[in-house]
Amino acid sequence: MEQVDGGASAAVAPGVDETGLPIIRIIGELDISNVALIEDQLAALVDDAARPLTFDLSSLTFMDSSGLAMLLRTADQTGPIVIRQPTGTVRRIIQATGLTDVLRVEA
Amino acid sequence: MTAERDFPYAFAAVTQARHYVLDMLNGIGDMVAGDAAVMVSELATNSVRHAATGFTVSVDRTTEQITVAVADPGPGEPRMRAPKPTDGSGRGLRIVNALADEWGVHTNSGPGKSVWFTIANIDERFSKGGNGRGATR
Repeated sequence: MEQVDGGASAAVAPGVDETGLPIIRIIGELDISNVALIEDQLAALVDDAARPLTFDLSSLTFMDSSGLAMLLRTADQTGPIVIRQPTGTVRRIIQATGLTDVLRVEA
Repeated sequence: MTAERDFPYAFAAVTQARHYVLDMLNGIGDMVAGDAAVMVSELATNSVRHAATGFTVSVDRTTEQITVAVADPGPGEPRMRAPKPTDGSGRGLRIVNALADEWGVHTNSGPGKSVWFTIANIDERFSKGGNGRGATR
């Protein structure tokens, strides 16, 4: 994982789920310190990824509104995004901000 | 227990402030720690983005509740907004409002303000969450 000057560490990588469908994994912590770096890495994967764009966030230990904004900018290009296995807090901030139509949470 | 620490004007200070609060809340249970982490991250992000200054984080922890405050010398009172899905920002205080039991803003006589939040009934959350501390009662 890459870290930005004492800030958060995260990584983004393409993968497949247990049924062979393509997904994108984000692992680590996502906040204002590293969101630009991760968004650049994500942009390189999005064009070739299947739709709906599906993220596995089971190993994303932290995300705040900076990360939500990144996902929303991505959804603006790709259409609604599927979010799999978010932590409880990530699930709650998606609900609290009324974004469940754009960021569709699956168990 | 009360503690506070100053953080510099830097994006990385948001990460460091969050880790500081998580250290202060060591052992408290995942849900409370996770919610406190996201709220302090939102408030610290607001200080860095809008006040464009360093900030001070204080943590007050009792057996019943935690109170966390983020103070900065920037002018103006933060407002909760209602961004559309396409808006790139404006969700921080909405998240705090949803996750906190209470939150508010203290303004000083001079410039600057402190935005605080509480998470209450921590013992009760432990029991409901099946945490070992509740089970020993």
